[in-house]
Amino acid sequence: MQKQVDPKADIILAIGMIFFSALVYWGSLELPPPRYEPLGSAAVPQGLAAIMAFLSVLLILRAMPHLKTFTSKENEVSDVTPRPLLAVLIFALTVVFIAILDLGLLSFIPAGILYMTAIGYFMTHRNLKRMPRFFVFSVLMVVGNYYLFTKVFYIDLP
Amino acid sequence: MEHLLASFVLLLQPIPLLLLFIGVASGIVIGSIPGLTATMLITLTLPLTFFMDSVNAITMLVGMYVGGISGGLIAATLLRMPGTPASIMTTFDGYPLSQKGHSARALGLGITASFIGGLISWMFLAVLSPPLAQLALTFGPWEYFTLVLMALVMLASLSQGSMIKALMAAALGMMVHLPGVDPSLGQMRLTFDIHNLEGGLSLLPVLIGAFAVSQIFKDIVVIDREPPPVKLERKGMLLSLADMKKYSGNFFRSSCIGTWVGLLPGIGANIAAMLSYTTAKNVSKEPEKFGTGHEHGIVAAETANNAAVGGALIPLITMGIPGSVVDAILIGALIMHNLEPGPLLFTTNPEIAYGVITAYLIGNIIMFGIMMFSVVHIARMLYIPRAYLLATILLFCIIGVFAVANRFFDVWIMLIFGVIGFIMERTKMPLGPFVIGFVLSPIAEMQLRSGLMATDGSLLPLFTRPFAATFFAISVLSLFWPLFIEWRNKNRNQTAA
Repeated sequence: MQKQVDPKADIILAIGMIFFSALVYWGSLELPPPRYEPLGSAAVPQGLAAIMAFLSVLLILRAMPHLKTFTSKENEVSDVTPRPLLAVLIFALTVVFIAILDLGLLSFIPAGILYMTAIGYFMTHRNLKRMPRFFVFSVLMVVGNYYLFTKVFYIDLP
Repeated sequence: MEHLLASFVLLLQPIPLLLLFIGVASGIVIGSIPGLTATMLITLTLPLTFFMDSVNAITMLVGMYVGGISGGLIAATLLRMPGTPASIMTTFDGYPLSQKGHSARALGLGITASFIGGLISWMFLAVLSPPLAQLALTFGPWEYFTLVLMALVMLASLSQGSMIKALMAAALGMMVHLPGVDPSLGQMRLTFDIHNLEGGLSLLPVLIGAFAVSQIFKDIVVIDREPPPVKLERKGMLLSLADMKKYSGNFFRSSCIGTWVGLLPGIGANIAAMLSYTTAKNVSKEPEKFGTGHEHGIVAAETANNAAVGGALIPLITMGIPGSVVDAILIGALIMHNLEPGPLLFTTNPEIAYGVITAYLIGNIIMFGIMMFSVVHIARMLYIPRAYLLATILLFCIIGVFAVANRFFDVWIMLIFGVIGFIMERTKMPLGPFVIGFVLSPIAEMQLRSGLMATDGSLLPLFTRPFAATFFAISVLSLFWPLFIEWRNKNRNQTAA
């Protein structure tokens, strides 16, 4: 049985899609009208934006009646405690890692080892006893991948 | 026939055979781990295939496809956790049978059923593909446009959950492919003065983001979930001749259902398994036993999900239309190797078209061998600590995407699509139509515009060209049929009340 989606989430999703459609529509307005063929460059983006907006409105209309009657089943018994904050933290660390590489603050090997060790630390419940093993694993993975890509595939990593 | 034989000779060489073996083995391992799917593995392997010969690359990916779908049955049977969505139906009877102390028997049935499903669907693939490709050569832009339309609408209407969201996902996929050079006029559009957008959004960052990164973050949320311990022996895994005879009807019926469902554009192995399982239950003299560890249930589900892989490869190599999400990624792989998916593949690159057919057969044989002899060891992979696994995959996503064009823009795009994929997953907006929309969007647009140019803007060929009209009619029917069913059910309920 599929878990019901909160109608509020559906409405937010639909509004997001309407904004995205508006952006696409607005972006295609500056394209020139068709000259050599009947459709032109703007027709498909505008058509898709219109379809998306229409579907989003339909989604809102379908979600509205359930706004008052919907009850969250978040308290259902689960075999494991979800850790959404951990996912957010790992995501943030990933953003930092990519930014460091992109800005050239560190090269791939040290940044990669730090990044993997850090996410390993958080994913293993900040257990310091597991850290040495995870550190060795990170070194092997990062250095191994570095050599695989640079020496075998001839791709320069930052 | 000579091309088929030639491709056997080619693929039985040490290197392609080794790559096929690696593909199948890694597919089985990844497919067996709940949360990691064949789609994810194939997407992550795409950057590596850049450095391979096209035949070797496609062969390995097909091997992963076969292995990934088959591997799902291990966790489904032992832990009641489907390794892949295709093995959901296997949990219904595989797990209860395993709980009764017959794990080996349950796995043996699943593995053999997967193998036979693969063999029967290979026959369809080998026999139907060349004539279908010949037929597809007669298709013009209108046929192709309506075929893509049909694939998207059918996928949306058969997606589990809301059809509106599935259609939105397909439209979103198509819209995401819009920035960059207009395929017909070569004019820039929707780049918003961002220089990096001029080349459009590449396939890999979008795919890896939507499938792999989003899945990793989804798995991180439940990282503490540990599979319960299971005891497993190999004894009793091999089926007897009497068993084969007993299940022959089920094997054949489920293979036909699987192949047929796979053939339909955009519909994957999970629907095939569901349909086959329901049919087996409906024709059974003991339908009440289904769901309690009934062997026919395992046979029906596993035969059909593997047969669907072969069926789905038919529209892929003959028309360039994906039979499932994995096929959409395989289309992307062909494009990345400068190959044009579609009927011309049989004439321009027969080694690829027939290579896919042959790789599917050899892949199934390898799968059977690996699963039969090493399932006990593969089952241990289920207990690899998630932290190691997810950290490795995340690092590999970043390097893989960066390696393709040596630019960080792609890595950021991957991350953005990781978030989009995660949100889509949380709001039950299916990823399948999104990916298929993304892959097929340029084809649909180009064919529509070519068609309109040829007819001076007239849409009449949609109704006058037999194939185009048929595909268009199926699209319209697929769009409105679920709505009609919903309306009818509502009416019935009201009358009953």
